[in-house]
Amino acid sequence: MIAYIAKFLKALNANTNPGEIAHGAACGFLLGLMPKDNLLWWVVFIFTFFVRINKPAYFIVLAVGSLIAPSMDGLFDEIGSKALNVQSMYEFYGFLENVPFVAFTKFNNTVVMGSLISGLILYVPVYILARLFVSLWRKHFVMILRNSKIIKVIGKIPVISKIASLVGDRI
Amino acid sequence: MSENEIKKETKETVESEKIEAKDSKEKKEKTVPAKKLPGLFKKKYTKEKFEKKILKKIYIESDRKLVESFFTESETIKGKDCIFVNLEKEIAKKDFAQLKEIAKAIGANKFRVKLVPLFAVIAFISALAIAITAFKNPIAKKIIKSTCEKIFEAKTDIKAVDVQLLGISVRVSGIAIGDKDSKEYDYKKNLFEAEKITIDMNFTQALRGKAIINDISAEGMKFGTDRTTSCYIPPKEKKKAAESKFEKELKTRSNKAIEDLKSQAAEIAGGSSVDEIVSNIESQLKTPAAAMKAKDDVQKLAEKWQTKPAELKTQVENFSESVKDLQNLDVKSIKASSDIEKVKIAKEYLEKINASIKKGDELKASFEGTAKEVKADVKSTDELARTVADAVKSDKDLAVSLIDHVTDTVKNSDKILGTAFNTVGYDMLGKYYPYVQKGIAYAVQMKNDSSNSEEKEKSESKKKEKPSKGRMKGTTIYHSRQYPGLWIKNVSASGYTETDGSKGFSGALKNITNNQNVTGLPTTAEAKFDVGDINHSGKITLDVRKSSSADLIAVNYVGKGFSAKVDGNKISPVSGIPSIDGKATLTLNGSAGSDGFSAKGEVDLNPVTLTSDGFKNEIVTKYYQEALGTIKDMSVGYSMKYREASGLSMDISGNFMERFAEAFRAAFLSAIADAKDAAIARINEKINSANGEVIEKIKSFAGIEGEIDIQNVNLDTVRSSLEAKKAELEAIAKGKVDDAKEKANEKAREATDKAKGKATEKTKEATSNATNALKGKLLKKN
Repeated sequence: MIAYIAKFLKALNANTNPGEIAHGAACGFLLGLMPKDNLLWWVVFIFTFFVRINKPAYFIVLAVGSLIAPSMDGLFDEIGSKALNVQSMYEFYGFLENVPFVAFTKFNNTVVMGSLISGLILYVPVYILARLFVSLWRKHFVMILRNSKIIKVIGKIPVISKIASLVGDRI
Repeated sequence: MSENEIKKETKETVESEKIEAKDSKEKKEKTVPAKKLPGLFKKKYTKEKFEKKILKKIYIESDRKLVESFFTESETIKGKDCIFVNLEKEIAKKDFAQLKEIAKAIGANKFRVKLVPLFAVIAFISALAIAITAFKNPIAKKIIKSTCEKIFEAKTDIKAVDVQLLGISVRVSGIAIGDKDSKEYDYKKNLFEAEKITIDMNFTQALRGKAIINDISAEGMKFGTDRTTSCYIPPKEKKKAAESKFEKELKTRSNKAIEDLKSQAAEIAGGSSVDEIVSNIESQLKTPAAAMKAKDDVQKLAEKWQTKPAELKTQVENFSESVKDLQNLDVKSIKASSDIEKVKIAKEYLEKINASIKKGDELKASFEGTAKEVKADVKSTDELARTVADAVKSDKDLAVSLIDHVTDTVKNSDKILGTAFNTVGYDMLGKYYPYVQKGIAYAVQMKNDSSNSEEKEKSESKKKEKPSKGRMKGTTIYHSRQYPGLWIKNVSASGYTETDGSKGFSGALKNITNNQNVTGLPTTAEAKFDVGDINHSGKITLDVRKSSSADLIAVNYVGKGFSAKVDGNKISPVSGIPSIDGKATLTLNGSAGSDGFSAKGEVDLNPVTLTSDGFKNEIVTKYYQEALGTIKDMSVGYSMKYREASGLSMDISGNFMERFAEAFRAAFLSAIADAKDAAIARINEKINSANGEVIEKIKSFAGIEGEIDIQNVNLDTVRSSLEAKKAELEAIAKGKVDDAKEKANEKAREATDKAKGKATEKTKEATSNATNALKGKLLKKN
């Protein structure tokens, strides 16, 4: 996690595409909200390996999302229950249940569905917020940190510099 | 200078040198030739392209300014103004490093999707799919083959297997499963083979570990075909199950049925041939014994009195001889000189006659004493005759009653065959019960499992639905129907039961499942097929649903053309159990549950031949076999019920019992009628012959009595004549000769006639009484 934080900071202070960071944060948030014992989570997770997103931001936000998600399960359950009980969608849901492998996604579980819907709804706001954050950070804090002696000192700490070098510039 | 001052000065010198070095160092900052810049910055760009390819990808203002500061050179290339970095310049290392980082960051800003890894994964998945597609059929073939060999315990040959993964369907072509019981054919016989077997499964449910089979069909099935290779697989040892309660009770009832049958046969009075009847009844006759005793007693009496008549006769003759002169005395011709002398002479004769008369009286008394004794013995012979007569009557009645009893026994002959068939039924029940028991046990287990499966699924779903740690489990809402672990919706099969394709079969199984509560449907099986000459048609319904009140197992079956072969000797020899050989149509309607089973139906045998080794009694066996032989067709109805609480009950019904009873009775009665008359005649003959001897003896004894009476009469005659003579002589003595003579003669004649008549009557009466006592009633009876 320390490595991810370091790399995240590095990405913030470098010319990493802010969209990558924002998408990473949004994807991380989406996956963080969802329960992890279903195929749907793994599909999304594996999908993120094929898109250019900032992994440090992704994993950090995923961790944060996983921490806050249990407290929102009640909300997810309600949202999922409403979504799954839409009469007009019954046929579609029934069809999906009979499609091979789709049933493994547990889409018909209220918490899974609710967290998915919530994550999808919040994807854009999180993206916007992350993008805004990156923009503001780069506008106001990058030069300060770059020139900050403290940052330089931290960067020179062997452990951190080694971790940073091991992880590499980009995942 | 003091030492301290020198040291201080040295120190200051060193420090100043350091500062100078640092300054010179700073002055001599390392530079890197611009030629070493990343390729991105060595290119020439138009302003637009520079903006697009470089500046837009730099998000930090200072970095942008830094890059812009290096693109100072410009040139017109092909009419377009281009800017570029002066590659001859030297760039500060710090800036160079920064530019390098910026170039990396710009290079990283590529298309959102990583196409290379994506394509690599796609290629891998494709390769995997191709590999699976290429090898799925051989793998499936191997799996199917090993499974079949495990189930059927014989080698299995498969020509080809085609597996479709998406939607899972399996098509097996040319499957041949060996027959493990074909030892006599060197294990070169197939249990069955099929041209094509198709299985279509629900792939989605299969991924969930549920076997939902939409259709299973088998085409072109054939049985008992030849193999080119042996199908032998060494068998595994099986444990023998302990005898169940039902099997114990069946054995008991079967044994009891056999014993009942034997005793019923034994109850039929022994024999119906004349000799047998007579010999069986003869031992119970009283007449021979009574007659023998009577004969002996009369014999003794006869021997006792046998010589008496001769004795008496001698006595009478001697007496008669002794008084002959007196008897022949002519009183008129007595010559005397005078009447007084005549009277004197007469008195002398009178004294002689009186003496003779006295002697005669003594003799008479002796004769009467003897007669009295004889009469007493005659009375005892009468008693004996009555005893014998009673014995004869009793024996006649006995003979008739016993023979009538045999006739009555025939009336219950239907019970014999009924009991015999009951025994056959118990035997067959015992043979097939293990299979019935297995089926019922499996059905009960299924019902129990389906009852528990809901709880099991709930507990499993609780476990399964528990997501990550600390997360709410949520609710799984199903929008399509739920499936059990196993559900075969339809199985159909068609094929041939003869290798030449002359006879076929068809069948369909529906809704085979391990949880009927989920499917909501009972399992049914319908089939029509010919095996050899037998046509089978049946339906079985298995309903293990929790909410269902229907029978657990319901069976309807009709089978035509069965070869009904039952060897009664094997069940129990010499017990009347019939051996059956014929063609049967079997109907069965049955049901079974957890507490037992019931079945009823009919076995219609047409044609049928019934034979039996019969019973120990040859004559009963003879009529039994004759009766069985008259039965050419029959229907045997059966109903059986077994409940844990009430036990086993089995009832055999049908027209066979009446048919058999009629035949048996007709055969038996026609023979018994003749035998009865002949037996009675023979018994009468025996009785009569026994009696005859007694009658002869009594007759001879009666003759002795008669003889004695005759001698008595003779004596009376002599005495009478002496009396007459006495009267004449007394008359002379009194002077009345002629009158006295006449009267004496008349008296003597009367006395003689009377005595003769009496003697004759007595003799006749004695003989007649003895004969009538023995014969009269018999003659009337006959």
